[in-house]
Amino acid sequence: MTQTNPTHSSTGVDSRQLFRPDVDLLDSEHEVTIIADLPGVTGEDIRVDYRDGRLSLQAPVAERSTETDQLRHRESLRGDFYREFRISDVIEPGAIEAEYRDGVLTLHLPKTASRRPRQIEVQVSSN
Amino acid sequence: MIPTQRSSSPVNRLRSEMDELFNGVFGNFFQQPTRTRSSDPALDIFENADGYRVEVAVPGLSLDELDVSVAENTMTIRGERQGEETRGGTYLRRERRRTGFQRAVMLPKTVNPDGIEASLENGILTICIPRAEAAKPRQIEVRVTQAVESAPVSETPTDES
Repeated sequence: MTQTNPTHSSTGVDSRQLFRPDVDLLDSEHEVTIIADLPGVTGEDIRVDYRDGRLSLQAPVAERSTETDQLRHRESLRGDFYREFRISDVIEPGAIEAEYRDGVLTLHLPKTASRRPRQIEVQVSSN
Repeated sequence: MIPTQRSSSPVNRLRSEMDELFNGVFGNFFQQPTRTRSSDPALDIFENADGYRVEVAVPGLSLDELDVSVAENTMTIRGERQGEETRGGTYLRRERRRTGFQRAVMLPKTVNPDGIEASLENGILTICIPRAEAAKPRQIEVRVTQAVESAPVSETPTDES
């Protein structure tokens, strides 16, 4: 699995600034797991798209300040989280699942059954 | 008249005098907190009529794993993951913060530390720091004494007059 540069995406992202979220990528027997930190995002706003072997995730950071708020100090990012991943054919695209909790998006990318490592049972003939 | 130097403009001079007044006499502004490590979670501070709101990005942490405390005039925010996330498999990439963190914010004198409340939503820890009662913004009523009647001018004029 490789990553592509967000700035060269052609997915119709608007001019808001894009930021790469921190991710963990885990490879296990049955799936590849992508865990992305998306603090300040509303779950319903997260977009995960798969097309032509590319998985993209986009999530706008919700504006939390109101009109009466005066900004005194800011370190947080203003814009959208965006990141793309190139998915190899190990993954079953139709079975990708996503969950968002406590500012963390977890994507489960199950491997196709034929690509999972498996132990072949040895038939022992005893005659 | 066009001022030749910004600093000499009456408005700027007044502004700088006001800043001195606020900072020197009341000390009611937050000092800019310092982010010592790039892995420190991002921290924002907003001010509104009720007081201040400090927001810290703490994705993946629950309220149990966060601690907000005040000692003297410093508010300390700590976070520590309770027990390592156990996931089977090999990490192909590992960018998310695994260590604990600590951020400190100097509180202005005009807040009520006993009224601090914290909440957590979508990985953002929000800490509301109320203004001390004496420091709340209020409109000072100006009484105008007239021969016939006196009325507070701070009220919005109505059509009833």
